[in-house]
Amino acid sequence: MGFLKLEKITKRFSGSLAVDHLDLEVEEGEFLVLLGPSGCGKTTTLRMIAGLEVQTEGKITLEGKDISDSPPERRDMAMVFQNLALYPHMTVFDNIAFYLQNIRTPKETIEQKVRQAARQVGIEEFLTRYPNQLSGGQRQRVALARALVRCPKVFLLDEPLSSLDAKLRAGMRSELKLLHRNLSQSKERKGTFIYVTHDQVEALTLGTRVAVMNKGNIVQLSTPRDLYNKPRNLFASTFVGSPSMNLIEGSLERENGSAAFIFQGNRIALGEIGVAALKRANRAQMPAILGVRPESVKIASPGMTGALAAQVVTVEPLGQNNLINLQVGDRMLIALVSPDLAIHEGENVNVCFQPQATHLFDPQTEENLLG
Amino acid sequence: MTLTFEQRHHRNTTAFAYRILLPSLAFVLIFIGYPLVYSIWISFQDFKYGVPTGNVIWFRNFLDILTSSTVAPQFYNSLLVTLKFTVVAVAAVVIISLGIALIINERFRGNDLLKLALLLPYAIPGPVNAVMWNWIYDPTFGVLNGLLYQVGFIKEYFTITGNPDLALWGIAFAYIWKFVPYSTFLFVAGLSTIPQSVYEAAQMDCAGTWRIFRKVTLPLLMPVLQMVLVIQTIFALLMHFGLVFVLTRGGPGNATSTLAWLIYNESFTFTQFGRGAAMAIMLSLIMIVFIYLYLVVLNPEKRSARTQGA
Repeated sequence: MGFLKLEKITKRFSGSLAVDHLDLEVEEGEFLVLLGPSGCGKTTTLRMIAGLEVQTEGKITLEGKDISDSPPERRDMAMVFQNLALYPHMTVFDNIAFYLQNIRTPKETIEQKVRQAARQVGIEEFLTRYPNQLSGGQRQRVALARALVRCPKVFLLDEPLSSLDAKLRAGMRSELKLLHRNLSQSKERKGTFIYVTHDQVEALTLGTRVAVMNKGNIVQLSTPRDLYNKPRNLFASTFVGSPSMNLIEGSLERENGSAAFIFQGNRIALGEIGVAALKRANRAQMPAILGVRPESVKIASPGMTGALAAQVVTVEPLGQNNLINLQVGDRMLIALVSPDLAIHEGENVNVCFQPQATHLFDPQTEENLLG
Repeated sequence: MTLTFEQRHHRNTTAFAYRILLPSLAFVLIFIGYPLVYSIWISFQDFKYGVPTGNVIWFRNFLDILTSSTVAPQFYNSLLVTLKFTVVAVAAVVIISLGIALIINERFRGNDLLKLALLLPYAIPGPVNAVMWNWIYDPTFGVLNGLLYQVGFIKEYFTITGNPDLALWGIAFAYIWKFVPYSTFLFVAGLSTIPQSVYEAAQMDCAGTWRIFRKVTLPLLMPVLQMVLVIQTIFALLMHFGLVFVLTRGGPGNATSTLAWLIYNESFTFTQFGRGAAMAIMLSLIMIVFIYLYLVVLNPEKRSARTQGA
C-alpha cells in the first residue's frame, strides 16, 4: 500500500526550516488536501513531490519506486500553478498540446487528446485563442486541461483557485470535485489529486482526506468530517471552521460521578465526556480549554439550569444566519443562530451548549484530551 | 458659441499640454527637424567649398554616387564593407549578449559583481575606447601582440590595423566589446519579466533545456530581441566611426572605409557637402530597410499576445 509515500521529508532554506520530518502516504485515486496558513510548508511539500524542489533529507516513493532524485520530467506528474503559468505566446491548443509535442506524440493523437481534454473542462471553442484573450475562469480551465491531457500519475494543484473571484471559485470548486470523481472511477489510471490551499472551505469540500499543516509538519490527517468534528489539537480546531471555534480557559473537575468545566465561577456540566477526559488523564481535576463551535452555542430560555448568563454585544446578520457576539464574564463568545430568533443588542440572555458538541484541550500540550 | 463644460475643460487641458510640450518641441524642431530638412535640401544641390550655394541639381548627386566612374566604386566598396561589418557586429552582439544575459539570469554567487563588471566597457567613452584599442592592437608595443607571443600563439609581432584582411575585424572586435553590455542589460530586463513558474511548467511538461529556450524563452523575449536588433543595427551603422577614425582612417587602402567614414571624408575632407548629404540620406534609407525587415519578419501579429501575461 501507499501509492505515493513521503518519508521523513525535510527541507531547509538557508537555515530556516520549511518542512520538518514530514511523513505522508497518499492512496491512488484520492483527493488529498494540504491545508495550512502561509509559511506552513504546504507549497514546499507539493514542490518537492513535483521535483521542482529537492528535499534536504528524506525519501519519496511512487508506486514503490524511489523517485527522490528524479527530475520533474521523469515523475509523470502534472501541476497546476498558483499563477497558472500558461505560456502567453501559445494558443490554448498549443498550451495544452505542449507536453504531448515534447514527447513526440503523433499529430492525430495530439489533436484528439487535446480536444478531449478541452471538452472535459468546457473550453473547446477557445482552442485558437491566446491566454490574454480569455477570462480568469477560462484560463483556469486551460491550466487544468494542460494537466488533464497527460493522464498523469498524480495531479498537483497549488492554490489553483486563488486567482478567481469568490463566485467563480465556488463554481470551479464543484467542477473540480466532479472532475476528480470521474477520474477516480476511471479504469486505467485513477486520478490522484494533491491540492494545496489555505482556504478551509476548499479543503473541506474537495478533499477525501485533509492534512492540516503547521510549522512544517502535519498536525492532523483525517477526513473532512473528522477534521471538523474531532480536531486533534488547538491548531486544527481553530484553523478549520469559520467563524472559528470558541475557546474558554478553565478547569475540568470531577463532581460526584459526573464532571464539569469551571471558569470564572461558571459551571458547565459535561457528563460522560468530562469523565472520560479526566479518566484518560488519570486525574480528578485539571486545567483545560473548552472549545465549542459557534453553531453549537445555543441561546437558552432564561432560568434554565446549566446555562450561562450572557449579554448580547452585537448582532451581525449574515443572511442565512445571525452572528452574535456575546459577553460571558470577561470572555467573548460567538454564536451562530437562526435569523428568526429575536435577539437584540444589549439584551441579557442565557447560553448553553450540548456536552457532545464540546471539545476539551490540554492547555499545555494543546492536544485534544479525548484524543 | 457657447461651449459645454466638458468641451471647455478639454480645450483647456489640451492647450495646457501644448504649452508644457513647447520647449522640447522647439528643441526637436530647431536641432533635429531643421538640420534634417536642410541636409535633404543640400543633397539636391551642387554644394561644395568655393562654389556659390543654391545651385540646385536635384538627383544628380544620387546618380553620381550610384553610377559615376569616380565616386560609385568607392560607394559600392563602402556599402559592402558596411554590410559586412553590420551583419557580423549585430549578430555577434546579439548572440553574445543573449548568452551572457541567460547566465546572469540564473541565480548564483557573484552575480551582482558580474553585472557591475559588465557595465565597464559601456562606461568607457567612445574616443577613449578607440585610443585604448589602438594601443592594444599596436604592432610594436601592443598588449595583444605581447600576449599572443608569450603564449606562443605567434612567432613574431603582427599588425591588425595595417592588414587589409584583418583591419575591419579588429574594429569589429573593439566595437562588439563595447556594445555587448548595453544589449545584455536589455535582455536581462526582458528575461526578468518571464515568470519562473512558466519555466517550471515547461519543465513539468517534459521540455528539455533546448526546447524550453526555443519554445518558451525565445518567443517570450521576441519583443526585446526586436528592439535590440533595431538599436544595434542603427548603432553598428554609425557608432563604429570613432574606431575607424582613430584606428585606420578608412585604410589600409579602403578596407575599412565604411559608409559613415566615406560620408565624413566626402563632406569634410573633400568638402563635397552636397554629395556627402546625398550619401547620408542613402545610409538612412538602408537603416530604414533593415528596421522594416526586423519588424515584418520577426513580428507576426501575435505580438500583443506575447507581451501581455497570462
